[in-house]
Parts: sequence; structure tokens; C-alpha cells
Amino acid sequence: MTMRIGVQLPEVERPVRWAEMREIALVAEDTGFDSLWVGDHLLYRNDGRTTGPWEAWSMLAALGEATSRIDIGPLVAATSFHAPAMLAKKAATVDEISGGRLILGLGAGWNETEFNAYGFPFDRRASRFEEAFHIIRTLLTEGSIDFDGKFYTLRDCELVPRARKGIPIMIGSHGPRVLRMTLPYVDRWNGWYSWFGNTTEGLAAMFEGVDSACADIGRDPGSFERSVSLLIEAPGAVGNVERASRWRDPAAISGDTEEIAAQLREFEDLGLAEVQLVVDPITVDSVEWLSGIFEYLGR
Amino acid sequence: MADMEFGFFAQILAPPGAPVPRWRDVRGWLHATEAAGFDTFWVPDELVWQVKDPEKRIGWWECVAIAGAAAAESSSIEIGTWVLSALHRNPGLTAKVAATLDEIAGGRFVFGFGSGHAGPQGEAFGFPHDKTVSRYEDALKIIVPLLRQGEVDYKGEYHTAVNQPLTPLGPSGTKIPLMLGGHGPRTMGLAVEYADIWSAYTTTSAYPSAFEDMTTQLERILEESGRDPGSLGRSIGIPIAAPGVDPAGPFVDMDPIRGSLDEIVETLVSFTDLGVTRLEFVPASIDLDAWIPAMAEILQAVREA
Repeated sequence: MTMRIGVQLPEVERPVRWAEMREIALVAEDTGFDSLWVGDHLLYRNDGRTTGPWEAWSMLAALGEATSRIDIGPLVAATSFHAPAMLAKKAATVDEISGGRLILGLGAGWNETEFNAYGFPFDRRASRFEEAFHIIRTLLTEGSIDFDGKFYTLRDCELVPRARKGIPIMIGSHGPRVLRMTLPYVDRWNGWYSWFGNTTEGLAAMFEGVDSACADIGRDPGSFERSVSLLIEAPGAVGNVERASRWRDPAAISGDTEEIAAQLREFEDLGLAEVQLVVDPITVDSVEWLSGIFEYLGR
Repeated sequence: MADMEFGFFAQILAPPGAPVPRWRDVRGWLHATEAAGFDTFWVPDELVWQVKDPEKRIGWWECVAIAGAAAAESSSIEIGTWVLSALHRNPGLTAKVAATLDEIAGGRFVFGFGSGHAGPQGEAFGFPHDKTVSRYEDALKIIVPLLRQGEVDYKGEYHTAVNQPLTPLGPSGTKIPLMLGGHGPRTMGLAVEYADIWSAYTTTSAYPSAFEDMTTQLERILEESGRDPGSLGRSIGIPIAAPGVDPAGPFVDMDPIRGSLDEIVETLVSFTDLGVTRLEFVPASIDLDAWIPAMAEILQAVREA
């Protein structure tokens, strides 16, 4: 199998300290996973309970230092939470720290609760994202920008030290408008499992939307990579992942590692370059258990 | 002088015409300063100086990322931000950064925060450049309650936090040490009101006389506030050229501390006359492989003085 397989690290499923986060990351690296992902959120409020994760960029930097070979990235960085030029600088710096292993996942953000709590505007997110994406992409690829937009104004901005050339930019969005504005430029597109019901049928239908957006803008649908997150059930699954209260989580992919590997092959057949596995539970043990799939994938 | 604390300013900058320090270089400074007896490894929050002039332009690696990696890679030295700018990030998010750095550092984090400076680097990055101190005041009204009570609800002119918790907290809990910069009466007043440590520096001279007026002003504000002066640490940032190490770099024209070992030690000891409890050393050198070991000798001598 050539499809890359990544793991999302714990977020708010349960309290997780840095030591355990680091251990899960190292086990994922040692057992052969290709990438590690950190959600970018500030808080969740479900059923009267408030939970929060650690801050994404400081955590990514620490993970970049602690690991040596595995790719790392936010899944996905909310462009609303930072000035876009600052986000570009954070990305360049984490990429430097990791020795060139950053994948920059970007999205507009969706969790209205945290936007309201932190005072970030929730309106016109697609338009704001369009400008932010343009700024970030330009700074990472060209190093400078002078921009007078509706939401952001940057005068003679220079990103110094320059970002490494070739930091992959991955867009996590399925809105037609955002797709049309970003597909001309992205290296990778990413979908979240709940958008397509965590099934191959659902994903095939979703891909039709992506293909159609490509046709609209004249981009070859095979010219960028596609990845999705998938919800996986491991032994000891607790279900009802905290953040899933926004939507009912679809059924997780389950079975023993051989069965899971077979299902992953079916997803690969749809043309996926990578999957990010959201594992329930997410622990050192579950990652070790899950690495059993590699035996059935010829890796 | 055994109680004086010493910090290292990590100059994570790309000076014009000189090689960009890579992370492996910064990591080398981290280990070297930890071994040399520095108490704190400070990471600055700068973007790009002299942005409009390609010959003079100085770019900086990003503070939070470097601090996160330094926190993960160190074991005994404190990691601090010197100082996170109120202009650069949302205040609630900044507090979450502090809690996360405290967690990664295992409780060894010092949260330095300040108003930031309006100017070309802010404009280049799209940050506001007016009402800097007012914005800072608003930010503190969010950050301090988050740090000390774990929650805040505040609607200010520049910043908003609605029913916002700070969770999770790291090992320091609600006791992360807070260092606030202040050179003028308003910012000094805020440091006296909220901080564990007051922070200052000058760009004109590193010698104690350059800090006398500031100290007088601080002591007046302390007296007016009724706060016990002994309860507020005093941190002074100073460029220093170590003996035998070529002076160079962007801080060399700020009248750095210099001279023989004995002369330097005498000058540093005299900072106690100003009630200084911490000295943060900014290298007036770019050869840190030589500067750091030379500083180890100085730190030891000052401690024994």
C-alpha cells in the first residue's frame, strides 16, 4: 500500500499530559505511522461541560523536537485564530524545528462556541479564509506580500527567515466556494470523516463534489493529493467522542487489524494519498495495537 | 549575590549577511546555557526589524514555537518568553499558550508579557499600531484572571472573553510566574498591579546609571500602591560583551557591559543597588560557542561575590 497512514493525537477525549502525548507520538513514529496530527481548538462546550485542549502550535513545536522522522501537522489550523502572517511564521518555525516535516493543514474554523468565547468573528468565514489563505500561501512560497484586503492589511510584509520551499499546504474544507478558491493552489485536500459518514460510499459521493469544483476552475482533479480522516474503533473504545456532539458521530471502522487494513485498502482504491486515523480510544496501547495493520498492508 | 538570577536572551534572529541560526544551533545554546548555569532561557517575540530595508532586515523565528521546542528539550533551565507581545495574539489564546508551555516545561515556564511596540514590523504583519498601552491593559484584564482564577468574562474596547475558561492547566496551576514589561508610568503601574516580576531594558546603555530614573519611578509607584517592594522581582535586560569574545551583532551599539572579568563582575554586582533581582543577558556577540562559556565564568564570579 502506498497510501500514507497518520494518527491524530488526543485532544479533549480525556485529560492528557505532555508526557503521555510525547509517548504516543514516539510510539506512532516507532511503529511506522507516517504522520501525527494535532487539532487546533480552544474549547468545547457540550451538555453543559466545558473542555479544552492544549494550544496547538506550542504543542506541534514540542512534538517536532521530540520526534525525528514522522510528519507532523495541525488538523487543521484555524486561520481565524492568528493573524495570517503570524501563522505563516509559526509554520516556518515549526517546520525548521522538525527538520522539514510540517504539513500545514488550514481551515476556516467551525466551532462557533469557541469563536464567541475568544472574541473571534464568526461571520463571513469563507471570505476571511480566502484572504488568509492567500496571505499564508504567498508568504510561504514567495516570502513577501503587500496586501490591502477587506479583513487584513499588510504593508511590505517579509517572512524572514524564509520558510523552506515545499511545505505542503492542505485545505480542510468541503464548501464549494472555499474549494473553488483554494483548489487552484493547494498541494493537498483534506476531508473530515463526519462529512462523508466514514464510509467509502459517502466518500465517493463527496469526491464528486471535489471533481466538479475542479472542473469549474479548470484544475486537473489528479494534480493534488486527497486525504481524509477516518474514525477507527480500537479495543476499549468509549464512543461518543467529546467533539462529536456537534454532529452524531458515524459508525467507526472496526474489527481486528486485518479487517481494518482491508477497509483501508478500499479507501485507498478511491484515490486517497493519506488517511489520518482518529482512534477511539487514543492511547499508547491503541496505537501499538493499530500498528498491527501494517503487516497486512505489505509494510 | 547567590540569589541573583541570570537569564539568556536567545537571539533567534537572522542578521543581514550572517547565516540564519538553525534550530540545531538554538538547541545547542539551550544545552550550553543550561550547563553554564543560566537560570532562564528567554525567547523573544519579534517578527522582522528594518523590514523595508533589504540590507538591514533582521528576521526572527517565531517565539511560541521556539519556546515549545525549548521546553520539550530542556530539563532544568527555566524557559521564558521575553516578552510575548499583546499585539501579536488574542489574549485568551496567549494565556492558553502560557498554560501549554508550563505543561511542556514541567512547571519551568516564566510568562513574560508586554504591550509590544507599534511600528513597521507590526504594520508588515497586519497588527494594530495605535493605542498600544490601552490594548495591553485590556489584554491583561483577560489574561490575569485566566492565569489566576482559570476563567474570565470581560468585554473591553479591544478584546473580548465571554465566559472563557483556561483549561487544561499545567503543573504550576494558577501560579505561573508572570513578568510584565514597563518603562513608562502606565505600564509600570500595570506591572506593580499584576506581576510577580517587573521587566525593563534600555537600548541606550547597559550600565546601571541608565536604569536609575526608571528605578526611582518604579519605587514611587510601588509606594503609592502600597505593594511591598520585596514582593516584586526586578528584571533588567542588558547587552554584554564577554571578555575575549568579539563584540558583534545587533546589540553591540547599545553600550554593552564590557571589560575585564573583574570589571564586569563589579558592574553586575552594583545592580543590586537598584534592587535588581534578575539580570537577563543579551549577547553582544554572534559567536555564542565562545560567549556562553565565557559567561559561565562571569555568572559564577557574580554568585560568589
